[in-house]
Amino acid sequence: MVTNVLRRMWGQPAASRRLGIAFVVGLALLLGHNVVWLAHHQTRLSCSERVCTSPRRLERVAWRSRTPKISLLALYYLLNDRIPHARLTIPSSWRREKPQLEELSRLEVDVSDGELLVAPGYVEQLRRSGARRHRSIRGDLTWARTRPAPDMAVEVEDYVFLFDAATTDYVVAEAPGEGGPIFVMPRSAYAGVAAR
Amino acid sequence: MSQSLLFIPLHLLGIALCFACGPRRRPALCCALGFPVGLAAAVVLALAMMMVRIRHDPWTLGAAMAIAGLAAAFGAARRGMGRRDLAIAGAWTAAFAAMCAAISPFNVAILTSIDSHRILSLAIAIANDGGLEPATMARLGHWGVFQVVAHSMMGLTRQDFLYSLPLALGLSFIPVFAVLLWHALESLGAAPRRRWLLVGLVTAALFTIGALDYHILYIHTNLGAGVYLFLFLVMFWIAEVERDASWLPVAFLALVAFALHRTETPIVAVLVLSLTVTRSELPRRPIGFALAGSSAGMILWLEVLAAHLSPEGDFLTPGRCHLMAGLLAGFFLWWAASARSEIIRCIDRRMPLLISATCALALAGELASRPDHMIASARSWAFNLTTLPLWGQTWFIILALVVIGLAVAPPPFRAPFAVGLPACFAVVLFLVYFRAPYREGRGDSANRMTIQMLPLIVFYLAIKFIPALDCRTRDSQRRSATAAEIGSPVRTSIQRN
Repeated sequence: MVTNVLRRMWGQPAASRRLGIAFVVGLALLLGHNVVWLAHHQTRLSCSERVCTSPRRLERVAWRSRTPKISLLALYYLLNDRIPHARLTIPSSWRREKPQLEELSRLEVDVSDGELLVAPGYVEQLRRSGARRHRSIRGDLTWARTRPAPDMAVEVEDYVFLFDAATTDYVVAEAPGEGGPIFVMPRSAYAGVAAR
Repeated sequence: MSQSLLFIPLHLLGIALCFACGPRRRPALCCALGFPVGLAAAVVLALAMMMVRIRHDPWTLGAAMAIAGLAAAFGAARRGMGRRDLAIAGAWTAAFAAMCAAISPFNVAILTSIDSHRILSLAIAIANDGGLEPATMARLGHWGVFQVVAHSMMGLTRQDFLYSLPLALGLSFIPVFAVLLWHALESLGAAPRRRWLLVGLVTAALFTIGALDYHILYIHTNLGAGVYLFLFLVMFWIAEVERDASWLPVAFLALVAFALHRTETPIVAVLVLSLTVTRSELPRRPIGFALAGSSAGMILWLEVLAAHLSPEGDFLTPGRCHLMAGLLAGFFLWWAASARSEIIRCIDRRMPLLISATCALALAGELASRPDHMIASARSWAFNLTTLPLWGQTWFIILALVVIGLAVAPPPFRAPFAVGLPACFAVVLFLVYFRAPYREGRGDSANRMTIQMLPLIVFYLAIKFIPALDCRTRDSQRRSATAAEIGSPVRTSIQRN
């Protein structure tokens, strides 16, 4: 009924033409608004909201994320790339991650009965040995990566992946205490640094 | 670069399919539709192969796409695809290849939400397993399968993931929108002299909206769902207005692609089918074939999925899958019975009213049952649309145009837009009753789902207003024709509307 009344008022041919012109003006307004918006915000918005280039490696994209869940996926993408089909033993606290590790990283996953911890001094030992982003610590055995923590001046390790081309048996170990890095290392290497 | 080597064959497959069983008399449109249609065909093909336990790897998928492409090209040649069509297809493909080559070296995809990574994780799992393993199927209860299968084609490239896929789909949607709007205005008899200018203005106004641009870069399901919903509704509308059933096979392929995009899209598919096929005056035979094929595909997928889902799932459960499959089957039976029953045809004629009343009653019931929950959700949704930086003042301008548009004479067969779009908004609000309330923020579901309706709203406003610009011209034409009729016994048809 409302539309009929409106059409009787404005729906005559000449009036319809005026409405058509109003539409063109509205569109021009929308276009102008959008262009101004794009120009204004392209420099102000964060990288997550505008055109911004990222690495093409999925693992590196995930690794740059500030969301812990996505950061952890970076490790899974990396394992899928570097040690697919290997055997991986995870601590019992990681039980929920088993399906994702099996599907995403193509690993045969065993769940340990308890925690898998490295010795307390091991993290410091790694730090002192100069673990830096993409840098090999001891030949081709170790491959560690660190990332800058948000709003912090120091670099912290997110995860440390110790790669050994000669083995297909790995463990996931954690540093004692909260917030330390996650280690994925050959079982033989873990045997040498496990917390007693 | 290697992603171009996947996208160009998909584009060629789509072109061949459109010339073989689509609107082949419109070569520019067939070429524009190439990538979205080729992607939809490849995903449906890959999904069908996985459902019959054919291994999903680059070789089997490449072979299936090659066979489908060759069969479609053979069909197109038999249906008289001439040299001029080939030249247009060649030029269009060269432009598409240049676009792919330009976007492939850079990853500008947005992957900041866990949703994007979940979709990619499932795609990687499918590629690693060579198919849909039960564990993967169980996780598909949270997501539509379309984007997952589309991204699982990364095995055909040398990349970790298809970071250019949303951008390629979004950029290829721009000419699709423009060419379809051009044809729609042509079928409404809008004056050709300024048609390109107005089509350009509408297209530019739509594709510079910040929220849409964001989704063109975002790895998620909403842009794809919006593209395929647009393709189905607009192609069906043009088919109806022009009484040309050749648009239907591609339109229904788009509907299947839409239904596979998200967990709730089969419900919306039934809704838009109720407003299109039930009131169509197109021949029943082509509608019947297209509807039967698409419904069977969607039902089969929902039933296969139901067998793997947990009854305690948050989103899709076996019960909900059976319900949606039943809705689709029931709708097909309803349509089939309408040929023989006058009562059903009578109800079909009142379908827009029926759907409006059902949506209003359902929302009123939900509001009465959980008022705080529903009001909080509606408020968050409205807040997002009116205050998020990505939208700017877009919705105020669109709402003003919608209100002014009430006074303009509507186009023919308007129910899919005039009733369908408000009903889609109602469905978005309806769904929140069964889940946590919508929240304020860019990633909110309702805010994202609004993108699916946006191209259709702008398109409908354009086909409503632009012919009104010619009113004075038409009026004078009508007067001169009436004067001519006085001297001639032959009735002259000036305009369709």
